[in-house]
Amino acid sequence: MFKATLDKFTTVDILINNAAIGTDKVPYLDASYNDILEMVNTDLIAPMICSQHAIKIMQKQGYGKILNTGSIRGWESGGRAVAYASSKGGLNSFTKTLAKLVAPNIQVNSVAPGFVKTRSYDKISDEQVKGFIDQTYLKRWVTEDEIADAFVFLAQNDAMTGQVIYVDAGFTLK
Amino acid sequence: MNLKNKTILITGAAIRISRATVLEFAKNDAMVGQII
Repeated sequence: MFKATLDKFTTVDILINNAAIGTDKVPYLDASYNDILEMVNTDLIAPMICSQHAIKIMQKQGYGKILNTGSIRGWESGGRAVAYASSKGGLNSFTKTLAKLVAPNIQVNSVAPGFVKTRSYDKISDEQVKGFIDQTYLKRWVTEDEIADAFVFLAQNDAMTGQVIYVDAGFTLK
Repeated sequence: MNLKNKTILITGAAIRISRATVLEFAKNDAMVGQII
């Protein structure tokens, strides 16, 4: 992936580690080793490995930014999806720790979305929707565009590193 | 960082947040291409 990017575009200025599994597929107490491994591999280890590749390129360039997609579930104790919350909590720590390691030339930050109305929520009941929204102080979903705005902001900003920005309609105020 | 002509590699391109993010970057003149 990185070779293909370099071959086509010659630089990797910004890496966004966004690929993820959105929640536990199997409840934690019933999950197998492989169920848990799949989650941790996708949501934590893949960003760590992709960042290694990106940093080698960015160090040669003398600059670069890494943005991770976190989650409100990585904040303190997260929901009921234990493997997902653990992975996203680890990603928060990775963001802050890596930021120190690769400073001053490379910045590492994270955007942590709250409840974004994606197809993941298409099949839930109105009662469940209300349950999610009631957990936010702004009493609303976050839109995909509002998450995208945060990524663009962090991509443009040269004064921030090691930060996790919660775009969550006030969920983490509770 | 001025995003004009910058290369931004986003994993998870099938995720709707990625698509919205790519469009937002495109508005800022970043490089938009596709690597599978």
